Amino acid sequence: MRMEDTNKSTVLTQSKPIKVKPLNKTAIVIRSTLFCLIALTILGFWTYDYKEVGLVEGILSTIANFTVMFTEPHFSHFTFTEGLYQVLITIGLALLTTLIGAVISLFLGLFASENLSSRKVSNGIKTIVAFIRAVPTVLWVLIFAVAAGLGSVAAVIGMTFHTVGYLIKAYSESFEELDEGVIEVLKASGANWWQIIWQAVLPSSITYLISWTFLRFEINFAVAVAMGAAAGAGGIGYDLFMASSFYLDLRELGTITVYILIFAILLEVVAIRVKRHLKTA
Amino acid sequence: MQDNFFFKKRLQSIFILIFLLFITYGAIIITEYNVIEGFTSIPLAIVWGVTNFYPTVASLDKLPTIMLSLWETILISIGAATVAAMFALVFAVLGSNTTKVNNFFATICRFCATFFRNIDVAVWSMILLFSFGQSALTGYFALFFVSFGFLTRAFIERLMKLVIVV
Amino acid sequence: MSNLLELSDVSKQYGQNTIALSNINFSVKEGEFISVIGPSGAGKSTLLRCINRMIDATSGEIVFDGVDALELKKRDLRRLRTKIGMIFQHYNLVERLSVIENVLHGRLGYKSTLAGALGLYTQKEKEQAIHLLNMLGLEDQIFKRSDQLSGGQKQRVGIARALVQDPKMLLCDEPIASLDPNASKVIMDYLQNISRSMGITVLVNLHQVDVALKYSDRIIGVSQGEIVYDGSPAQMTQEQIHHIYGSEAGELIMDTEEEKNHAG
Repeated sequence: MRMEDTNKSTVLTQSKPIKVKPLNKTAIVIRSTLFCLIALTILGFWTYDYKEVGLVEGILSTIANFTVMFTEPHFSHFTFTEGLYQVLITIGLALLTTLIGAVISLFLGLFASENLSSRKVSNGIKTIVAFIRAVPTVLWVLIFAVAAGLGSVAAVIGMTFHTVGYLIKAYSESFEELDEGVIEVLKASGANWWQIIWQAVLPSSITYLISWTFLRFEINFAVAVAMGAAAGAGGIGYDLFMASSFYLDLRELGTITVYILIFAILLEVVAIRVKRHLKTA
Repeated sequence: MQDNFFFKKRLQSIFILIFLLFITYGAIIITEYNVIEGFTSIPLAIVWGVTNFYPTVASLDKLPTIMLSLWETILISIGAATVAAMFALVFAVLGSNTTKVNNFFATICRFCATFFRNIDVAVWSMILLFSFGQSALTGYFALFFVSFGFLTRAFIERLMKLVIVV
Repeated sequence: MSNLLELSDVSKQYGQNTIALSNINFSVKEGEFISVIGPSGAGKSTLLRCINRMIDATSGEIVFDGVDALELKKRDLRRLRTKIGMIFQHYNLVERLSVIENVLHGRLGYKSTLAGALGLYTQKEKEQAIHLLNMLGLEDQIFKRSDQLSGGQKQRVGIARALVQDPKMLLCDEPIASLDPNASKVIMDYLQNISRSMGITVLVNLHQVDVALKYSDRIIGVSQGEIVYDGSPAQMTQEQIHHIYGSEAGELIMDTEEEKNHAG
């Protein structure tokens, strides 16, 4: 909006106001994107199917439900240790898919980054990877479930697939941000490609790689919860599904949420510790 | 001194490698994942995907209905993400190490983000379903809370990187 | 003394009409200390990088140590590069690794892919690295992380990394452009020492005419991709410096004239 105004005044008065922020292509793209988002948000609020639900009453009852959930959690369909074991299964799923995905992505990510590989190979991998990412994880799991049947195999392979798509993009972007000079210096001393990768590229980008891997691990944990029910992979997600869809047991739902929250907070603390360690040591 | 330095460094790498292999093995056991079946399922799935994964005439008949719900989904997700992004920006600025006002606020902001992000969408849906019924607001709020948590976290990460660059 | 390096009719062209270097001819004797001076964008950097084939020259002939550099394929090219050490303006250290690991990177060209990738260096190589670091006055920094060093220290690590290659020649691309005058002097003194005591040929790109006049055996002036001066610093006249840098160099000429008087 403001952009058009300034343009108009320039044309009319020819007085050329001094622009601190030059209107280049990026600025225009950013502004129009923001404008579209806001317009669509407003349009959305206008057209949502509210079904005559009172906003205030709704929020009040949400808060009430929330209080019940967290103040009166109980165990009715599983015991404390069973619950713990189920959480471990879910963590196992997330770990396995993240680790396998990270190893595969590390190698493919090197070939996907333009400064370490050729433009053709890089663009080829990036296109395939964009396609893999466009299909949601759940759908990948279901596709593999057709071949391997419902269970942990389909869940692991399907989730790994999407993880690879995500991490290749993230890793290759980290590699592309690298300082060219470090690569140049090793090349000039006669080092070959693999030596440059292991001695300069990986040590320089390790913090970014770990940061992305942790983020993906968190995503995979959430997906693993969802997969417990959708793909029959077991874990806390199955109990969550039963509690929310069959027993409609708000209090047990509270228990499960606490389990998940404790793990998530633990993970975040570990992630911060590891990153701090890498920064200093 | 120098032998010690290289020895320590190598020992650390080996230790990390063994640790990773160990937890991978543990994860395979606990999830009852079958490695061989995993590999063989990939070509099978690709074959199935190629032969079945395209629209038929029957499914094309449903296209208008699908397009309508797609439009609703897009509107809800954009609305939730945009509003969540505004809130997340404020929380991220307060929560990031580099731009925080003080430690107390930063911890609270980070905790809020973690809290909202890790309450599963299924849980949100159920609570909201009790309160708002089958209305669009149920989906909207469920998405809003989850995106708020995720975006806050992502913004915090970005803000922290900022200073490394400068 | 024999010629270590010979460039004949070397040209470099980018795209259709950007000429970076045209018909460069000069030869370098073993043990010489040569400065290449000229304005920014004159092609000094390109010239240096053509010698170890970091940039491929479009035409001409480069003979280093009796080998035609432009004909070399992968493996032989790597061997050529081990014989030429390179030093950069921005030091280009792997910041997260220790000083000694950065120095040992200079040995990678001699190692097998696996040993190099895993960083398995021999005792002898490590001792040589430590010896060089001691020589450059970095004995307290050996196991520190490289990002904890000052600019001058980082450049000394860069020199050690180049020397650990056992090079016949050092190419220095603006080695002191990011350093303060004190650190600059330290680095230039080290380079001169290395050239004299170890008999290593040094080819250095410089921005500072006064420094070039003070340290070099010979000066090559480059302007718009061509060599416009090639001779001893003593014979260099105001007009010639003027010619290298173009007409805006009035201030600069005054400065160097003073330097010359001081030195003389």
